[in-house]
Amino acid sequence: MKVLAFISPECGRGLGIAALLGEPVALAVAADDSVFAGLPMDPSVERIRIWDEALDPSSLHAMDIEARQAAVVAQAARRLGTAVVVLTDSVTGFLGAAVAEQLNLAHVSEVVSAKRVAGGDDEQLLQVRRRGLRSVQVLCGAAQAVLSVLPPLPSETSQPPDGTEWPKPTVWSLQDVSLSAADLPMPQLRILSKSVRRHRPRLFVGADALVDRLRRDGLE
Amino acid sequence: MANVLVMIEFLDSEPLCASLEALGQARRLGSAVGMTVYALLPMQSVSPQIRERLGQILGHFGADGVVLLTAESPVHEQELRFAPYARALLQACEELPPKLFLMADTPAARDIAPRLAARIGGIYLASGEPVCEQGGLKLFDADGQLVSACEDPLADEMFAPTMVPVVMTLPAGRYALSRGSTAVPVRFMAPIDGDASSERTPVPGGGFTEEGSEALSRSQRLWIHSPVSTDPETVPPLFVIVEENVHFDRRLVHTLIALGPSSVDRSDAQFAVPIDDGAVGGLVASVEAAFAKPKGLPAELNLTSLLTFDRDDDEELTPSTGRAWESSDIATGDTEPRIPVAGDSAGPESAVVVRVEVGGSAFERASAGDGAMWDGDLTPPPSDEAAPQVEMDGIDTEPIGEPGSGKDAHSDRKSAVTTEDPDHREELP
Repeated sequence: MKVLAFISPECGRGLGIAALLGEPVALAVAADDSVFAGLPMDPSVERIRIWDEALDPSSLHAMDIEARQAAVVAQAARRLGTAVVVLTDSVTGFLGAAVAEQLNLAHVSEVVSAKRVAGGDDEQLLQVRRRGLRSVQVLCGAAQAVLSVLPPLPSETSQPPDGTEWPKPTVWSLQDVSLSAADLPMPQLRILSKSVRRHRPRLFVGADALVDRLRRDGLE
Repeated sequence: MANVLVMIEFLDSEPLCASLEALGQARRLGSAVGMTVYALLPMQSVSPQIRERLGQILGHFGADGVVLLTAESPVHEQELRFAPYARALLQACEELPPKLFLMADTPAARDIAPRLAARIGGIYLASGEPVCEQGGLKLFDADGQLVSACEDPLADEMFAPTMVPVVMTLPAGRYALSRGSTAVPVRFMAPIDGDASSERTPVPGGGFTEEGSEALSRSQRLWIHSPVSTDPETVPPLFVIVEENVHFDRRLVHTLIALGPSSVDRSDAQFAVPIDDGAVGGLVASVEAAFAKPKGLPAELNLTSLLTFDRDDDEELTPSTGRAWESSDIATGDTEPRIPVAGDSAGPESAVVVRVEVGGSAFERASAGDGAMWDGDLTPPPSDEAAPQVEMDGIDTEPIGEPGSGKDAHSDRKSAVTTEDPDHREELP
């Protein structure tokens, strides 16, 4: 089973899950091949890079960038015939949901791990562990889903590039996934001011008050 | 009239404080710019008594109406997520078209909010900020940038622009609760009947069901000390206490609690205890000791057991509203200042250092100004330019209810004794 693994910064955990679920196909929406450098990925893994000027993030809000990436990823998944898409939780959190919406698949967010399990009638199911407010939820469903995986913890060691020559990715244009720039979602947000507002945290005088508040937010 | 929908999360019968904060901000916005505030509760049908009580409670905290969302699955899942409530949510959005849909930033919100935004063609802003300034609704994204919806390219003199709903998650601790006294009506919102795959209410095929759950211990959810080693199976913490210069990816951690003198200036933290560096160890020990104390029992019967239909008894059942929020020190109003900064050039403002005695040990803490702001007290009023001008006279649910002055609210504590730099009491430019 092919699994589409979307390449983004800190996607190590997602790549590991994709490899567990099947035969990963690494897909990046990037201007150059450097995005593939240093990834903990077998050299035999198929690599695909898609780029078009309409995907240039410099002029778009992060949410609009992810909406456009979602359109591309969904089309690529259709072309590749992959029913499982694994990606790392994006900055805004919109990418996974938007891909799932376009593919009309279930979406599971905050995924910690996933594996394939046998269902009835030789059917392969996905068993996904999802972080919740007070427990890790174990979900089971058909092997057709978009999984938004939590990024790795800071202390998890990532392997530095070892100088190995990795295979060059296949480069696709939007036309290769049956899209044109006009098919991409129109921007929904515009930034009105470059100045930003910083926030200050709520202040607590001591341990008891802090703990009381954390309990009110669900930490027993 | 436009609507603001606020999805409320419950945990062990109590609405999350962060959810009520989102409801409070919705109340202020609704009153300021004229929007009706609905609280959405992912909850099965409850008895009439409970329904009435929910109307009282959530009316008190700012709702104009309460909508109970009925899950599609009869099995109650341990964790809230989009799929079981998808159709009820869509039905709610169809009957009560939202201009804003708000949720506290929790794991559930990160599942529900983006998918709902994608489904209804809305804008999604994670960790955003909706405020009312100069009589209008202003939206800021997670980076603090002022954003607005792009103009509808199809709008002209004949066709009015389409209202694009904005779905936002709001970080904990940023807003105060609203306080009022109005009981509001409660209604049910069941999933639309019919084919699940119909175009009217497309629902993802396949879908996942909960097989079980693995309870997370407190130490797994709150990292006071980072574990010695982690592996890919390690569940990232929801809450983390960090000292100076330690940062966590906001995708990993929902609530960052910063310690140290300069924690007051950290824009990436939700909560801060700005104590002197030397007192950090003592405070961490105090946090552990405070958690070791038994949790106070709710004064009233909780809702957990009430999520089923048709109770046989006629007992008067009352949901809990948590531990004495009515008289607690939870702030009212916006709880922290928003500081306009020109680009990235502005550095942290000077802060007052206040010496505080807690538990017999003195330590210094940095203050943004008025000593009355501690423990969630209202931050000193920001300048007019930065203030959310949402607190209007004559609103139906009074959003501002100072629980007394800050000193009164904390009369049981040993208070600040020195203020070293009164010229820098306000951090706003």
